[in-house]
Amino acid sequence: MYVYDTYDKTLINQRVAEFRGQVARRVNGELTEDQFKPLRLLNGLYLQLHAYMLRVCIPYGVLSSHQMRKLAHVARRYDKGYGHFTTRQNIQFNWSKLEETPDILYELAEVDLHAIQTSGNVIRNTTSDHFAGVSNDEVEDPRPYCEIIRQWSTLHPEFSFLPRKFKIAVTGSEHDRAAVKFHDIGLRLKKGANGNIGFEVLVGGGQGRTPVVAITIRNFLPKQQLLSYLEAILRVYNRHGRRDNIYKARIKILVRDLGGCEFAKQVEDEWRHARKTNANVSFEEEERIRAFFVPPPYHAIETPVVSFQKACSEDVSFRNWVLTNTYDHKIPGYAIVTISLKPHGGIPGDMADDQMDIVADLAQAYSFGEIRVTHKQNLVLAHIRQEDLFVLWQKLVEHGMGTANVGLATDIIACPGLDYCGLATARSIPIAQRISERFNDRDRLNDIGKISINISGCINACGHHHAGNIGILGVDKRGNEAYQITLGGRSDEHAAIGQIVGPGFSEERVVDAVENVVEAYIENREGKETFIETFDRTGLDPFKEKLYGTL
Amino acid sequence: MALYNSHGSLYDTWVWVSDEERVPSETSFIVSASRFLETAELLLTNRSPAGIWLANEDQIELIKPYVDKLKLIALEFPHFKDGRSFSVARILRERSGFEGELRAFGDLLPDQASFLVRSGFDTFEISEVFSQESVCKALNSYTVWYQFAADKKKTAPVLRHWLA
Amino acid sequence: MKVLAANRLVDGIVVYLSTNGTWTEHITDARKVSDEEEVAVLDIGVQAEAACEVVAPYLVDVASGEISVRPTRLRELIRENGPTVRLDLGRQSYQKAS
Repeated sequence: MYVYDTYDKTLINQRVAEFRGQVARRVNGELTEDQFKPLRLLNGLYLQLHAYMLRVCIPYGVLSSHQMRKLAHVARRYDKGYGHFTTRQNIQFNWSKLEETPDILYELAEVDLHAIQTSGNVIRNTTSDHFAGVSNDEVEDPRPYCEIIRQWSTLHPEFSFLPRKFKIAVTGSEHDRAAVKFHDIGLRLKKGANGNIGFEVLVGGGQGRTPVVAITIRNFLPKQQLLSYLEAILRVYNRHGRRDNIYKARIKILVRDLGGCEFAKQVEDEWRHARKTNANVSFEEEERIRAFFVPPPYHAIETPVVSFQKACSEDVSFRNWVLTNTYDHKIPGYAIVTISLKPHGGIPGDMADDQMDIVADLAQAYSFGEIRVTHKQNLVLAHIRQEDLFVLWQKLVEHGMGTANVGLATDIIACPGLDYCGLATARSIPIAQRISERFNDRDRLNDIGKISINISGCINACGHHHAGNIGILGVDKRGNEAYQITLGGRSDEHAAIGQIVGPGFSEERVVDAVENVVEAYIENREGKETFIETFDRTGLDPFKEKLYGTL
Repeated sequence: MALYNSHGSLYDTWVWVSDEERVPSETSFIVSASRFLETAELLLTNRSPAGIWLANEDQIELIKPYVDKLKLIALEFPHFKDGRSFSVARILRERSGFEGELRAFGDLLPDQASFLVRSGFDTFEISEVFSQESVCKALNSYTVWYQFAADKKKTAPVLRHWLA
Repeated sequence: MKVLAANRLVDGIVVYLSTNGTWTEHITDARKVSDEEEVAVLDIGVQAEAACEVVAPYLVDVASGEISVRPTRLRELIRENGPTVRLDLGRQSYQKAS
């Protein structure tokens, strides 16, 4: 993974010093709250229901063991012993104190972590594929480009006061695990006509109040022109994005209002100028960054790995976990492991400080000291030898992280909701917990198979419910929590926005409703169809019927 | 309002003239872009140098024919969160041929100082509610920059290979 | 009946305007605000924000019993007690112990 040099370290340390000064100026009254709020948001510090919440950046979801241990320490020393992994590969601490935040940031900077631009109307964390560099289906590892974008977008003088937040995602694979079509800018690595590497550029995707799937504005952008093209897009957005209404200020609204063709034309017009500047990184700099992402020193392993096969045949629980939580690695004898942070009945994405330390140790012992965070609120150890899987699994089970449910009905994605968030209209976590308990049966989980359930506690959709096969949106109905169900969302390369199935459900009845939806799938599926395959074939009708009676 | 450049505070030699007032003949003056466009020839033949200020809604294409004759262009920040003028500054500085003073004014925070300088502003006005010290501190907060901008500062990606 | 709630500036803890004009973490000590007093009390909150004591003051509906004071809205109840999914965190955890 990328390692900071003196330039990188100097910048984040100067940022810490600047923020310390800004906090002091707030506390002594030189800055009003209106003036200070955008500045503290630039350092990821929100004011939430119970306390300040600090969102720490995990650039494109990659973390070292060393960094994970520091997060554990922050959780212990400055918070209440846990952190929460988010749907944008970041981590949140819910109980921060303003006066301690400069110290937290100072300690994080010691291990090259920061909270720069994890909030506010700026370019946020560029997210990516949690299987980057290790899956078989990759054109190229997207992470060097994520690092190039990270540096370019950090304290960008022209783009630090945008109409609204801005999110970029990069995938290196046609099979999109980074949900690029739901981002303000999505980048998909591809090979050009003569074999050179470039990007398909998509713009204007997003969830929130007005979910939209991104459109392609350029089929092929040579990789050398990446930053100049991004500048062109951001400049058009910065100049022409709406600033009169925060609900209409994202780039997706500008793209819709101008029309895709006109928007693309304005970007191309701007790019004609932007590409003449020195915006792009040099070949040497790209190669310097790429060198941090070369494959680690894998062993040459003879396959099949007998010890692993034996363990699979002897231990049913282990085999189940292998089937659900591991993924084929491009190197023979290795596996990609997803650590489930969704224990049955637990809080999705939460991790206790001791669990963080355990995972740091496991990564160090078994995965070259590298951990990834997924946007589905799980973790990944990307370089596990098959012969180590059994021992790893045992350790994970021992510490409550061995649930064999990745991609299944209890691998629920949920925002913090009304239990924590000042914007929420309903609670999301208790619904996730009850759904998880309802489906907590091995045979049933396996029978249902691959399905995504996403829960958002308000219309801002931080739980990405629009992209869930089953999406649940918490609303306020005359002072009571109520839940709307959407069906058929997808966040992969066949991105789709879930459709509202009908009237909402009370807090008491929503879990039954979700169970009925799953039942409708089971009753209507043909052959080995997954939930989404059945839905795509049948549409809403059988689900409506099950939920609301005869149409 | 106090005036600053990248080194610190400055004495302002320019005078703001409203749409109704007569322009002075002995002092550099700043008028609105709309007034300027209506009476450009007249204003440019004035004895003292002409400058204009642009609101976000003003179209820079309309003033582009005059950039080589204008000595100052001021860009408004109606609210410090409204960053449109950062982009307009870069366009004027980097490709319009304007070589005069580019000034930022309006509702600005000291914390924006280095962004203003990097985006191509020569000068910027900050309310006297904020101390000179806070502005100077903000100007010197950072010594490392990642991205190419209007000030053409050597960035980290360039410096890394500079001496190699 | 209402009380004035806010977050303390330096640590973000939820506090209420008390009867003696200070900010208290205990809702039972909060000053009860009648309809006629609303504007004046909100103004006290605004002044306190300007004085860098609190942030985001606003009025909260409460139901008042003989001893207890309880917000009527779920959101304010959660703010007062703590997350419903972590009963070991927030005021609910130490109020139970006492």
